[in-house]
Amino acid sequence: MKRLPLMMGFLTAVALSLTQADVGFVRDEGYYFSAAQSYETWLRGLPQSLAETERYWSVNFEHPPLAKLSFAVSHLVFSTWSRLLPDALAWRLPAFVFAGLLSYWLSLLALRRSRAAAVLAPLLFWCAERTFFHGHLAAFDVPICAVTAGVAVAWLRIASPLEGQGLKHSLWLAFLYGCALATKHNAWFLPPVLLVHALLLPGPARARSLRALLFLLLSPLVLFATWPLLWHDPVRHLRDWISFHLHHVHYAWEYLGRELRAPPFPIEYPLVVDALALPLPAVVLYALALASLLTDFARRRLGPDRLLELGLAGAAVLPFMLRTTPIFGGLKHWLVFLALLAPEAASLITQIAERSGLRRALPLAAAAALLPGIWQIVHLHPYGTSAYGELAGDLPGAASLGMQRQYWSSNVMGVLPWLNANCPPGARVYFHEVNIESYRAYLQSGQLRQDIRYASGPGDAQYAALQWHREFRDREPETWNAFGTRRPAFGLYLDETPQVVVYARPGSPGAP
Amino acid sequence: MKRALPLALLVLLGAGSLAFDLTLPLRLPSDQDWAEAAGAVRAGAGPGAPAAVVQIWPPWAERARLFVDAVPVVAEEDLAAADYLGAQRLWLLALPRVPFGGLVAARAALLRRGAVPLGAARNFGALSLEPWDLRAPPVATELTSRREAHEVDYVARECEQVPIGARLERRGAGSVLHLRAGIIGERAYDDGRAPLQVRAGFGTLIVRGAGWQRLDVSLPAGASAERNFAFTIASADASPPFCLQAWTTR
Repeated sequence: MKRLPLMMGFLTAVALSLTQADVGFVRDEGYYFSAAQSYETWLRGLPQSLAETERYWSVNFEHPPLAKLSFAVSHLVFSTWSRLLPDALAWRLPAFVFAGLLSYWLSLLALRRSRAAAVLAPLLFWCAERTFFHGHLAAFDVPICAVTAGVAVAWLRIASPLEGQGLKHSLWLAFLYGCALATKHNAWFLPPVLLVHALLLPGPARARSLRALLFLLLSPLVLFATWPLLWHDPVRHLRDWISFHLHHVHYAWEYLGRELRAPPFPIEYPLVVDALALPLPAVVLYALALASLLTDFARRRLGPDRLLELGLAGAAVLPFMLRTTPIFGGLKHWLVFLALLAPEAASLITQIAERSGLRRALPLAAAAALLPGIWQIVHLHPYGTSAYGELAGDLPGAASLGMQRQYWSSNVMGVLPWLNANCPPGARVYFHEVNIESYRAYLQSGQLRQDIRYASGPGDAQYAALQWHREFRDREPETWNAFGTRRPAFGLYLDETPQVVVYARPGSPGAP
Repeated sequence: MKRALPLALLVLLGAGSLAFDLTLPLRLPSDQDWAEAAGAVRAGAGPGAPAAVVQIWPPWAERARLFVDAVPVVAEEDLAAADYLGAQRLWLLALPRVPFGGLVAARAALLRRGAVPLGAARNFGALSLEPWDLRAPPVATELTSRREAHEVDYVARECEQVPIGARLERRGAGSVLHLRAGIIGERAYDDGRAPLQVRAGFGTLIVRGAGWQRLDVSLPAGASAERNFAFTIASADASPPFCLQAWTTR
C-alpha cells in the first residue's frame, strides 16, 4: 500500500539532488548556512559548549531550529566527518529529504482516491519551476509544507474508524506537529484548522479526534528539545521569535506595475501570483480543485479527507489575504495551499480521463496537465524565482505586466562563469543583492574564484553584477556614474528579460 | 462525445500552453537581430545627423544596451511625457511580438506628444526599428549638468544631484524654462517626508512624495539675452538625495 508513495518520495529526492548543482545560494540560505555552521560548532563542542549555548544558537534566533539543525547534522556527518559531500550539498541534503517526504505524504493523501492520483498529485505539485526550485533550498518553505502534509495524514488516520485506534497514532500526530512547530511559524495556524475539522466530523470520529487534539499539548516538547536556545530563558526567546514575525518588515515588491511597500496589500494578491507564476494547466486544475472542494463543502458532500485538505489549504493562503501580512517572497509562503489542493487536482485529472471512456485517456490527460510545467523546468531551471506561466505571457509578459522580476539573488549563478573567466586576480566585484554569507558559500563551493573579492558598492568595485529589481533601479545609474560607462559587459537575460547585468570598468578584462 | 469534452479541453489547454511556450523564442530577437538593428542606428548616426536617442520598448528590453553603441539608449516608461532632452530624432527599438508589449500604445503616446514618424518600421528578425522626429523645440541652454544619471521614479534621469538647502546659480538664454526634480531612489517613498520646494525666480516647483516633478514657465521677453538663473532648494528634511534638471528652450 505504501510502496507507491515511498517510490514517489524517493524519486523526488533523487530528482532534486541530481538537479541542485546549478541552483544559486539564495539570500536566506546564506543566513541558514551560517546558522548551521554555528549549531554544528556547538554540536562538536558538546558537552563543554552547553555553557555557551546562547552564543551559538542566537544566530538566526528568529526561526525555529529543526530545518537548520538538520542542515547542521547533515554537514557534520557527510562533510566534516566523512568528507563524502561538498559543504553546500551536505547542507542541502535534508531539503531533498523534506521534499521526498512531501511527495510521500501527498501521494498518501491522494492514494485515498486512486493509485493514479497518488502518482499525479506530487507530480502536479513539482512540475512547475517555482515549486521545483524551492525543493532544492536549504530553507523552511518546503519543509513546513512537508510536515503539514504529514500532520494531515496522521490526523486523517485518527479520524478514520478503521485506522485511528491507539495511543501511538496520537503520539505520532503530536510528534509531527511538534516538528511543524520546530520548522516554521506557519505551524501556528494548524491547531485551529484541526479543531474545526474535528468538530465537523461525525460522532465517534469527532470524539476520537478531539481526544487526539489534546495530544498536541505535547508537541512543544519537540520544539523545546530541538531548540537549545529555549533551554535558557525560554520566555524571552519565545517572545523574541514571535515578536519578530508579528512586526516583520515589509520589503518593496512589484505587482502588476505597482511597488507594494506597506499594507493594505491587494486581497487577491496570492491568487493572482499563483495564476501568473504557475503553468496554465496547473492553474486551471488547482482552481477547479478549489471550486470542487468549496462546492462540495457548501453542499455538505465533503468527506473528512477533502474537508481537511480544504481547511489546511485555506489556512495556508488566507493569512496572505488579510491585506496586512508581509507578501514579499511570493508563493513560497503559501506552498501548502498548492500542495493540499494537489490531491484533489490529481483526482480531477483521473476523473476527466475515466469519464471520456477513451483508451489511453489517462496518459493523455496527464501529459496535458504536466508537460507545460516540465517544459518550464527544462527551460528555466535553476532560475526559479523568475518563472512565470502562460497566463502572464511567460517571462516577457510578466515583465510587461510589471511583476516582480526575481528575488533572493540566486540568479547571480548565471554570471559567475563570466566573472571567473574575466576578472583579473583579486578583482573587487559589487554583487548587489548577494549577501556576504551567500558570497562565502559561492567561494566555498568553488563556483566563484577564491581571489575574487566582495565590494560594498560600485564605487570601490571593478565589476558590478546588478540584479534587476524595480526597487533597486538606482543601483544601475550609480554604477554608470562610478564606472563612466553605460554599456554592460555581460548579462543574464531570460527570454530577453534582464535578470543580472554585469558592468566592467572600461579597460578591465571583458569590458566592452 | 460529450463525455470526452473535458478531456478534449484539458488536452487543448495543455497543447495550447506548450505551443505558446515553444514558440516564444520566435517572438524574441536573436543576438544577430540586435546587432543588425544596432548597425542600422549606427548608420543613421553619422556626422551631420540630428541628435538622436534610442527608446527601447517595452522599457524592460534593456539587452539593447549590449549592442547599441552609437547613440544613448533610454528606457522611459511614459513616452508622451518624456523629455528626451537635446534629441531631435528618436529611434523606437521595439520587440513588437512579445506578450503584453503594448507597442501600439507606445506609438500613440509619441503621436500625442507631437512626434512624427519618419518612415515605416524596419524589421530585424523579432525587432522593429522606427525613426521618429520629436519636433522638439531647440534647447537654448542646459542649466544643469548631464554628466551623471540618477534614478528618479524608476527611470534613469540625467540630472544634477544637489544638496537640499543649496542655492544653484547658472547663466543662459531662452524663452521657456523647464524644471524637473525629484528624490533619488527609495528615499522618495519614505513615509511622512516633508515637501520640498525648488524656487527658480520665475516659478516654484513643489516636490511632494515620489515622482519626477515638472514645471515649464515662459520667461519674460528677450529670448536671445543671457540672464542669471538662481535655484534655491528648500525643505524641512535635508537628508534625501535630490536631483534637479533645468534647461531652457528658444
